Amino acid sequence: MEKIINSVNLTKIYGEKETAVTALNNVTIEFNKNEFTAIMGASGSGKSTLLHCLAGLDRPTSGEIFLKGKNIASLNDKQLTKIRRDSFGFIFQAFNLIPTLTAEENITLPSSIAGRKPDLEWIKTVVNTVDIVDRLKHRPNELSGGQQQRVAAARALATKPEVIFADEPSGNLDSKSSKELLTFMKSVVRDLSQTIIMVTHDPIAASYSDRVIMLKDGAIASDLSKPTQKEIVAEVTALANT
Amino acid sequence: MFGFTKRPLFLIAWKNLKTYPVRIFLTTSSIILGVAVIIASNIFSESNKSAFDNLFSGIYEGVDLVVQPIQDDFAEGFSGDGGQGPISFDVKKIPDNRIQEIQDLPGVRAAWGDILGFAQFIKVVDGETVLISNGFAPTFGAAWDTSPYSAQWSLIEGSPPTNTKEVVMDVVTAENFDFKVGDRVTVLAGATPASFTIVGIAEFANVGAPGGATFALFEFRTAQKLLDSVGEVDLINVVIEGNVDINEVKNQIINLDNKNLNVINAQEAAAEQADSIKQGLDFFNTILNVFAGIAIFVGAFIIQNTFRILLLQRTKELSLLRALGASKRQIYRLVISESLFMSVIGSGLGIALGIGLAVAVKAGLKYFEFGLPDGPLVLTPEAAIIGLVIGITVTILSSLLPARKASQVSPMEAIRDSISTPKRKSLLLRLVLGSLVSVIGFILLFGILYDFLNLPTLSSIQQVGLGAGVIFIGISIITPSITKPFVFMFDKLYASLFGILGKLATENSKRTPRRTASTASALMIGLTLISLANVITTSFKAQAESLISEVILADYQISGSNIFASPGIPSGLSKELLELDEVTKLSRTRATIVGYNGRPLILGGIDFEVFELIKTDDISGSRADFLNQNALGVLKPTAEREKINVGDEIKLAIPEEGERTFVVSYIFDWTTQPPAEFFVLLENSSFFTDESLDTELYFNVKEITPEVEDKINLIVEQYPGVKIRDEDGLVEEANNQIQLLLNVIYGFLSISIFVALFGITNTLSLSVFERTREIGLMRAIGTYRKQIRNMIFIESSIISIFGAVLGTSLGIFFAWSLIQTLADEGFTVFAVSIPQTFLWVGISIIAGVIAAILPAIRASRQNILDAISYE
Repeated sequence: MEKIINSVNLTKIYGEKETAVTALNNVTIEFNKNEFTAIMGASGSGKSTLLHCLAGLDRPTSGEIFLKGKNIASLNDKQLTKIRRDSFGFIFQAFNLIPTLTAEENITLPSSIAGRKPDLEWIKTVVNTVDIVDRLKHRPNELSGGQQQRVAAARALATKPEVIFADEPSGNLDSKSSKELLTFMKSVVRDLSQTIIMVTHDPIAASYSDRVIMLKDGAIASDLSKPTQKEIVAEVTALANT
Repeated sequence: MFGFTKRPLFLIAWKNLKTYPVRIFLTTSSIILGVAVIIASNIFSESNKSAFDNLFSGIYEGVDLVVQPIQDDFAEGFSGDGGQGPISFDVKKIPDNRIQEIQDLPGVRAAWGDILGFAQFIKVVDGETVLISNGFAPTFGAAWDTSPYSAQWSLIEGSPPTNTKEVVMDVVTAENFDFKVGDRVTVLAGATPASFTIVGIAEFANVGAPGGATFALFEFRTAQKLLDSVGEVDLINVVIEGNVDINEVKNQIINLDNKNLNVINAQEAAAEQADSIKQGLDFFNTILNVFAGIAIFVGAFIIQNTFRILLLQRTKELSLLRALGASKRQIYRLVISESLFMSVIGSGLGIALGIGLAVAVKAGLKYFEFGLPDGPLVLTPEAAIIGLVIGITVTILSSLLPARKASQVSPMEAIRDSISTPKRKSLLLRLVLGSLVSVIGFILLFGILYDFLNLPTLSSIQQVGLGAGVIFIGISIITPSITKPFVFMFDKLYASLFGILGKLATENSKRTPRRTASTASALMIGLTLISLANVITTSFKAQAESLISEVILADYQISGSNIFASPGIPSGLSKELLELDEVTKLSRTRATIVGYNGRPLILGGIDFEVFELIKTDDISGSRADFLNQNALGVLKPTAEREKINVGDEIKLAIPEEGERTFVVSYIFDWTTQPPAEFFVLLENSSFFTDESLDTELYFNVKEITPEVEDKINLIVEQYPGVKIRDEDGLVEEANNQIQLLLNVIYGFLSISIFVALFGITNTLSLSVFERTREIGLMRAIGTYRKQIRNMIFIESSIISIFGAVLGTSLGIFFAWSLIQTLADEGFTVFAVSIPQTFLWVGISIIAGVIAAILPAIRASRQNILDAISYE
């Protein structure tokens, strides 16, 4: 497997002196191309911080992050912004869409910002896959929660990014919509050769992934390959009790 | 440790303000400015009043009685100094032997004569002749008082003038134009300039500078000769003994010659003269206060907006208070208390800024030698109280609605996670109401223009003004409902210009139409007034231009360079010009005061050629008859007013000539500013002597070539104090005067634009605050900081274009209506200066972008994680 993004001795400390909290402690990890990875952990385990640092949304206190071998931890804001725009896609838990833009405009937003013509053929494929063709002209407030997240997923895919980061993408969805979204994400990795790194606390969501990494107190506690839902729950429980 | 306070909310209000000083500044910025203008204008006029008080009491310092000549009845209205101003006429004076007679009266301690006339210092710099004056202030010549009791002038250095070649200069002129004791200076007094040695520099009484006027002080006999007062004085100052009755002395003096002498109490005279000037200043003050009122009116919009914005940002805090058990009424009081604190601080700062502004304006005027008397700045308690009361009242009134709204906040808001946006109310009601009000305004306005509705008791202009005001209110009500359609027009343009950022910006403006509209309205007020002033003055200029080329047929016009100060044009100039072969026609104009039915009127002396150099319209009689001896020409308006017809005999009282009878031979209309009401031909009149000064010359040349111009200029240059203009020069001069006025108006109106800018800043700040998540999301998916900033700038430009376009359109329309009503007064030209209009719209857009700088920076520095995290 080809690695796409990896961290070396990644450390993130919030605050200073007495109030300092170590969110990530020397995390060294590799993520593979064309793989659906889930990062799990309890509240405060550092899972979101790891995702934010990898995605260039937050800056590590020390350590390196390599995107296809290129160190991105020391880039300035402008360079990082460009990488987020051109090489990453994002799906957040909520508020993924600009309310004043239609679904279609939201999907093409990253290309628009870059001043590039979107790849319409590709977007057609994506839109068909997420099944929102008939909602394209609607604004976010006219879409259901599930539809909104699917539009967000389509946006994340629209620029053919190197990695898609998803932060609790199904956290606000009912179980049916949640299942649809995760199934779609899984198919995107399998059929459209994408790479997804997803943070979740939900073992069901994690079970859709190819690999599950568990964090505890800012360090990697376990790394499971294609675990079943049962295995995940067992591991979470085990970790909670140690 | 736990303090207990009976007024917890008052305390919270105070703590809030202490914690957020920026809030105070944002909210009160407009009040600070408005109050500052009120205070500054007040200080300014009060200070000038007190300076004029000082000036006039200075003139009569130490004097008890002033003896004046009694003027002919008809000349009374023109009482002044012989030879001053463009109209030369003879003022009665007092024979100087009266001084000794008065001195010899019992009870008189001292008596001395004053002579005041026109004298102009001239300086030659690099071969150029420079007329020395401080702006429009007059230039005086006077006699140096040798009486030990005289306190008007005191020498700072040098010695008094003792012979015909010496002069003393006032200290302000000496300092401004760099003269020293021992320098030689040319003085124009009487018809020909002469050279003098400056022997002394003197200071005027207790004020330093007498109202910006320049003073040349001569030895007594020299002054009599130069200032056309041989054997005479203009007035006599009297100081009485300490133990005598002032009225008794007064009567004794009057009894010397009760037909010709008038005696007044010096202190009363000082107060009277100061009062008449103060009335003029009051007018100026009123104008300033109107502008301050506009700034405060705009300010009220902004304050209300800002309060609403700040309270919305604090929804959580207020709802927490509600959850903790504060009643709606208490929240209401909390907000009002805050606005009370803010208003006091804002008004206080406004007063401080106003004082600073007054100091700056004074320094500015001094720099431009505007010629107002020197003196300390005076802040009256009344002015300070008025400033405070207006500031506090406007602020509190503006906070009532937002406070009411804030008190309605649900305690649940505190627990909810999302930032609540106000519910959208229908804008339909506004549209209907606003349209209704506008229609009423249009009916009022067009009613008078097209003569179908004429309100009694209102003049046409008043009705147009009323209509315009009502339309303005109507449009202000409508604006929120037309925000969307207006911005809609920009969608395509902005999308093609700025891509997705343009699209986002236009969408955001449409999102809160009410807020966009009220922000734009603040700008609209200023722009309406500016474009109104702009179009009116442009039209006046165009009018003046067409008028001048239509009515002035002469190639050149010569007049005194400063109508307030110069004595007129020496008669030698016209003679020299006529000697030139190139000069084909020349007409002189002179003027004198005559008595008609016991009232003063101006009698003009003209050459017959004037009818070919100035356009005049025949009304009745004939021009040929005007050539007759004793023929009198009468202006049409005067003839109508006085019911004078051709053939009437008219008696005029002519100074030094007595009564003479004229026959009205020609009634005509002078199409420019007429120089007089009655006219005689100069060749027929003995009372305009060869030495009389001309007020204006008009002449034609065979052909205008550079050589001819050089020849003419060579002659004119020998006569300091006159200036020559061709047609372009006349147009330019008229335009310059209008432009100067316009610039002053622009200066004041920019204050209201400035105030409106704070509104834009506040609105955008709120916009940014409300869109924290949106902006964070955009940053997360790869929007550069610069792009975020640009988006806010674009949004700001939409608000300012909206305000500017509405304001400019209204202003142009109001100007058009106003000019329509002035058609009867002869104003027929309606002209819009496209460059000026675009300039101001451009200025508004740039100003809008400047106002957006802070919110834009704030938006671009937004922490992405704060925006997207939910934990």
